[in-house]
Amino acid sequence: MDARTQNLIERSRDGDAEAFDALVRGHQDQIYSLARHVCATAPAEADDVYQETFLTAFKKLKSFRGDSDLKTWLYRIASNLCLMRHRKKRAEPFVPMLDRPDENGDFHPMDFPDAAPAPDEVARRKELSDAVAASLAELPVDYRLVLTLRDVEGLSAEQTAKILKLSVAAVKSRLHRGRLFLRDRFQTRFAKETA
Amino acid sequence: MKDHDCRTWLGRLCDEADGKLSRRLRAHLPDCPPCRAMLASLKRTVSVLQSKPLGSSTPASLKAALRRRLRG
Repeated sequence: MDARTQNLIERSRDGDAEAFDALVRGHQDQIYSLARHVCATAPAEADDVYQETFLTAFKKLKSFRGDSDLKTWLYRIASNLCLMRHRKKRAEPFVPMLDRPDENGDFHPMDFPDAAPAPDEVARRKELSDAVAASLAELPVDYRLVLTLRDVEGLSAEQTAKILKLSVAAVKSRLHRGRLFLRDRFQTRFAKETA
Repeated sequence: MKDHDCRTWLGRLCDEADGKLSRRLRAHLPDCPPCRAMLASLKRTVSVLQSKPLGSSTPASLKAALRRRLRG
């Protein structure tokens, strides 16, 4: 942790609101982005998670020992808030399309369709964010967290594992399944959009 | 390349869709159109997420609301 951040933390612990504002400013967009993507179709919940993250951090700053960096600690608080809100509404267990057996229980590899328009070809469409949000919302929150931390926020598997208190293997497994699921959903949704 | 062989590459394709490809995967791809197509579509999927499609800038009204709560 750099000296400036350490100083801001010390001052915030002593109740210096300006110092805490400066800490918030340094991380607000990262926390907002995490909350917005994990809450997907519920932007009001994302707003709540964003605010609760910093309110919780302010209250718990005295117990922050600096074992992890501040960003990791804030991501962990935000992730836990997302988990608490969304676990109650857990979706049906999902199976990525590729692993879905047929009616006889036999596995048939997905035919890798190439004809559907690529997501990046329609990325400028206004509907993109709605389609992505709807697709993300179909995933259990544990998977959304991994995908958001890894692919949206650009953290490593190791950093993601530390934040979520998972093994790196578990992060990779959820990332695989989540990416496959979204790939399938994107192809379906974007194909419909351009049909 | 048989389908069941492609399935064994799936984990690696998912792992490497956002980064540098390993030598083994690079060696496999030229002979395997299904894996190439799969990798391309996974890369596009990751690319959509990397663009932060739901937004990454905290709205000013939300920043103000938080500031009020912290000061309140």
